[in-house]
Amino acid sequence: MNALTINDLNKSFKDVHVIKDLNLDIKQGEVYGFIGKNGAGKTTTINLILSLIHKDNGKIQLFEEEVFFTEQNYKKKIGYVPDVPVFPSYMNAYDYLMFTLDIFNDIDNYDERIKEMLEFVSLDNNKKRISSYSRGMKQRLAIAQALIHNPDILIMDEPTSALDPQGRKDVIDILLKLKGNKTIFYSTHILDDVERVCDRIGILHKGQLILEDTIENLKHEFYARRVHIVSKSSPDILLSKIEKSDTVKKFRRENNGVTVQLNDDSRSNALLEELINMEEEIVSYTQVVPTVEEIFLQKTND
Amino acid sequence: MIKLLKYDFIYLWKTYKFLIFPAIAVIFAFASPLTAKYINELLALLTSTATGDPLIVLPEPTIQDSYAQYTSNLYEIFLIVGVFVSVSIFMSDKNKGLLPLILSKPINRTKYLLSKLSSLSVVILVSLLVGGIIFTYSTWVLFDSVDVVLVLWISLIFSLYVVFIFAAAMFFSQYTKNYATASILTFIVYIVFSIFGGFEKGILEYLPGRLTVRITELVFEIGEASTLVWTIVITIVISVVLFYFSLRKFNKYDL
Repeated sequence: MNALTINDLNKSFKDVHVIKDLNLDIKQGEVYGFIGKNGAGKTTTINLILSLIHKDNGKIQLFEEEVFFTEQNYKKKIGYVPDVPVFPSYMNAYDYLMFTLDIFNDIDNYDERIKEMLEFVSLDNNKKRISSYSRGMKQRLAIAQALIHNPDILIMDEPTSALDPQGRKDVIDILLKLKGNKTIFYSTHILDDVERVCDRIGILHKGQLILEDTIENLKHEFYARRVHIVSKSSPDILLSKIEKSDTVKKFRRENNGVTVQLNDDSRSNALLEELINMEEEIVSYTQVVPTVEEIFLQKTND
Repeated sequence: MIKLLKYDFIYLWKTYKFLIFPAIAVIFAFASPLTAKYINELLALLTSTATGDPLIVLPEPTIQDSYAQYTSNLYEIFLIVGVFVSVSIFMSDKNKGLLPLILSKPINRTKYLLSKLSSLSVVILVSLLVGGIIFTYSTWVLFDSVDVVLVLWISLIFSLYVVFIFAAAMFFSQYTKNYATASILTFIVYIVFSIFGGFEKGILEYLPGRLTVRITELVFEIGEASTLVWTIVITIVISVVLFYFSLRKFNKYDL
């Protein structure tokens, strides 16, 4: 069953067409990385899912039930974490979680659950007002309020974008704890995080989904037949030998060795054999796997 | 809606907005009968001649003077504070960036806005009733008689006028983008309707600003019941229209 399905979704702001015929399928239980540059339309998509803005046309379904702007019940299945969460300054974390449970009509064992949730996100159950919290603490509270009613899907809109490295690590650690137990729709432009937590990614570019697959498949698909070679000789000597080979399309000195792109028709070991024949003592001969960042840049650089 | 109301009351309480209106009402409920009762003696003290005779001689204070003093003192300050507090309440979630988290939860937009209006209106009504009780007691002590039903009518009619001002505040909070603009426009509405309150021609006779005149007429027993009823009806109609357009705008609002 799909947790979230979007069909031919469109949204314009005045003359700017922000979301163009967007189609998405998020499977139940997966962590889906929704990545794109700033302004690609990620937040707009999330706002449309949450009915914070009106769609022009298209269809959004949550667990196979269509989402309508005026309908509120479907939101009980969603936990939402915004990029920069803002809370009422006069409340403390406990008050806000109580408010959330109350709104979700779910106040059984509330005291125990609130304390448990505050512990889960490493926020002490103190009486400090939220206005005195750091950004990282507010973000952890945002995660707590998104999870407190045990939603079926967690929608996160760039939750680490405004955080320092420690805050970012804390959020990613929470996500890793949730992985496998919750469907997570994780929008971000920080691609290191995506590699760590996501099962599948979709790249949104100028309002359109231009690529979607598992990270493993994408790495395989975008493997550009690149090899990094380190030998006992200096990189310059190694480079001079590689230059003579017909198996190589491109090459450059990189780190303490040479990175080459092999010809499409040559075997991946052919260059290694040639170098051994040239009496080059090879220390390492490693396939260069593309990072999500490289794939992303390759697809989104016009 | 009940849950939203609960949290709106908590907001009013924790931000001390809950206390503003009762405090004003209580102060004037005590002060107005006192002023009405002793104004002559005060003036005599301040303006007496060398021989001790007062320069200005006013008629003996009556219970009507107490009512008039209370209403005129209370209305202006109540309405002016009401303009700024109500705009702040209707706009704060939007301006502070709280709305996305609030509306990501199963909260109906109409109920959300109506809850804010209701909580504020209840505070006003309770403030005026508390003020009315204290005023009744003070007047009874100082003037030996008081018309409780009249005080109740004054409180209810004035509450309606304040709710009309809230309707204007809600309207401008939805149709403008910042607190200052919404406050200024609501204040202009208050001023304009107060000016209209001075006219007695055609429809102007029944506009919300005339409610204060209607209260004075009740105090001095000079008005007609039908005029009062029509002024109340037209105030309610205008308020409902303002609420309708506010809710419509908010329901169409893209965050």
